[in-house]
Amino acid sequence: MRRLGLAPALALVLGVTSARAEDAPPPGAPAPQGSPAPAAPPATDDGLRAEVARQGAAIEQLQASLEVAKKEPESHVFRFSGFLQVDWVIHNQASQDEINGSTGQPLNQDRFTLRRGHVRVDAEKGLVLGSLEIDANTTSGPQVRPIDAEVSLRWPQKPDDRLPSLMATMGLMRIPFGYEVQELDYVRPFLERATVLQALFPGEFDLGARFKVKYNVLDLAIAVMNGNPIGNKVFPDLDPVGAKDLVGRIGVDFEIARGVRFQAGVSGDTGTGFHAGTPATASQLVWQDQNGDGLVEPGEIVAIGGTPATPSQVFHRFALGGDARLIVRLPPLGDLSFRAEVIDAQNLDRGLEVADPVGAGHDLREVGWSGGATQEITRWGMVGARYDVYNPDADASQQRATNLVPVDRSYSTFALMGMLRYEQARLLLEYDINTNPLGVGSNGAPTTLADNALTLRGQVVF
Amino acid sequence: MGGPALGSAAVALGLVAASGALSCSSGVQADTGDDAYMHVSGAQFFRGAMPAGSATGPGVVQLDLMSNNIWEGLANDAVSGALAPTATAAAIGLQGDVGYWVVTAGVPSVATPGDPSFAATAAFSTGIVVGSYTLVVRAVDQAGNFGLPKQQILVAEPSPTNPPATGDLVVTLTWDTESNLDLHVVDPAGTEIYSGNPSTEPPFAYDQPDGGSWGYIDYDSNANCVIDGLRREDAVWPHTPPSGQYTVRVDTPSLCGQPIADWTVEVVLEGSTIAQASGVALPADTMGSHGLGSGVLALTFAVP
Repeated sequence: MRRLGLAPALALVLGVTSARAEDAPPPGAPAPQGSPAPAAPPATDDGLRAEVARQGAAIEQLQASLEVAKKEPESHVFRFSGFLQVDWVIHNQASQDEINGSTGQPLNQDRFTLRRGHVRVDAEKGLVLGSLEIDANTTSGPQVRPIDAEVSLRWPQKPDDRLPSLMATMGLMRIPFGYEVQELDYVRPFLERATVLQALFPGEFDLGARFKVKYNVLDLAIAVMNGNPIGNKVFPDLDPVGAKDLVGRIGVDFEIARGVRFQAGVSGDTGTGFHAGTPATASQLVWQDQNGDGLVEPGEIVAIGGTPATPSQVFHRFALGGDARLIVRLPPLGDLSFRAEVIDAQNLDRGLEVADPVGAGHDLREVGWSGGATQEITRWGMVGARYDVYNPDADASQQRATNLVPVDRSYSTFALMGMLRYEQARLLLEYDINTNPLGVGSNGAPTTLADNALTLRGQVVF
Repeated sequence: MGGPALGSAAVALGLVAASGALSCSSGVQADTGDDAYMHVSGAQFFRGAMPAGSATGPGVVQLDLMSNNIWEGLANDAVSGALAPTATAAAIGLQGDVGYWVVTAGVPSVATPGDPSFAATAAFSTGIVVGSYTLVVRAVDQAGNFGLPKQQILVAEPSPTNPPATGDLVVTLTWDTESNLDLHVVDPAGTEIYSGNPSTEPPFAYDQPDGGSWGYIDYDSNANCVIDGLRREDAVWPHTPPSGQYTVRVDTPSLCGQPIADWTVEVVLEGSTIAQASGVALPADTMGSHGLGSGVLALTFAVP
């Protein structure tokens, strides 16, 4: 989001002043008091000297004004910003003109969607900052929700390269894990984040408290969070467990050589998951119309015994991740950027195949990685590709006939992207080649349920 | 300036086309098979005819059906059996259907140790008509080879749970969503029958020689939004109905969360359809009372 802060505003003022100074005044008009003298074309050496002296005086005057402005006590600053992403799913192989019988939702995916419509307001005074961001979308029907709500205390008030920059924040905020989770939606060159991140950190935002330190090339963020992100399939933005999750990332960001920038980090997440207990049930008789004739017959009355209540249980979950990014400036084309991220986790899937080791009877090891590259084509375009893989249960097996065989439950996406850019607007076309374990082949083994998709996205940032 | 941009778009589109061509070679298509006569719970649907198979493929050792009799709307029909040892899946379908279903083979049952088993629950759509159908089951091995089939004739008969109403005069209301609609019929004497007054049967009707010219409502479908799935009510005069003018109304106590309900009223007199009407029940129709005299006018007809 583009924000108009104090420095850009001053630059704008100075720019306007400078531009006005360059305007030729009417002949014979007196120079306005407090502003640079008119710049008449110098005809001689004396004239040139006088002109240089005049401009020198003008620069000194502007610098003095700037210093005064810097020393003025800062008042409240409010900034409004936002962005809009509208998708047209031109074709999705999984699309059907049918209804999902269990959810009642349409199975058609070929549609227009308001993917994200965000409005954000930032406020700051002195050392205190506040932010509120609202998301409106139609992904699963019309929805409006808070996506980011933070109150922060920072030091120092003005960034100073000689001092570490500290910030303490509480509220609903981005989970400080990895690179893509924290990458802004309107900056990310691909439609969505890698599958592993959508599974482990659904919604990317969670409630908690975070402490950030940035000094020189070092960037550290550590947070205590509920552990139930906004996109959680179970208890989103709630927390059924008293224990909190500890999440953090430490990274570096520096220039290796002229025009070559490197970013990397390691992240960790450790916390507690929740397995819901069940209430006690009474014994009951159930009629099972086994022959479907609508008549109660002997043998169709089944006794179902009662069960005692089972208590809820908690389990440990964690994730370790590493991310790296290399950006090479290639004039006149633009930046060539490489990105890679790898995560090893356990019992942390909260968005795709929700991990419940109590129900599964074993810990669920999740492994995922992604790698991609983008190339700017001047300031007007960009192309890129990314491949990502996610396995929600690395130890999965299946009973197939007489054998218990290991099965690969991996999801993968190969995304090919082309983008046109104009000022703050983008038109992005992406084709996703998806594989998954959701279908059953004619031999009974899991296979990909066709799900490739071609999507056109329009985006504008304001 | 536009040249490189257009170039990048062309590159992207080229990649898209190439990837699209590459991506169509593996996996199965998403298809719920809702238009098939037979549905198998938890199985993968394959559209098209079942592969012919050969003697080199695995065979079906045993096929067990709960019953050879089926009817429209039959659910929970168990299909199970045993497959040759090399089989890893069973393909199940009705001959001539739009597709077939595949279920993964399981561990051997006690009755057939050493042979992989399969078990499925089948349901039959409302498209099933009275007659004979052939159930085909083939075993499939790990390499995807289909074996020779085992077939079973299924006899489709009228549904015992929802038989068509019979009588000299039958007024039928049907609708298409799981809503609560009520049929109201006013006979020539001005007596209205509906779910709140389900019969015009006079006292001691059984004393009359012909049983009397009285009518009744056979069922109150989806009453109080307890969904039974029938979506049908009949007003039936078993014997000669009174002569005169009849009025038929359709009341909508509740749409039960559905946006609308399309309804149809049909009047059959001595086996012949003499009147028909259709309409839409809207949320506005649920307002007001839902007793005697309520509902929108569907049609009027005369019995000579």
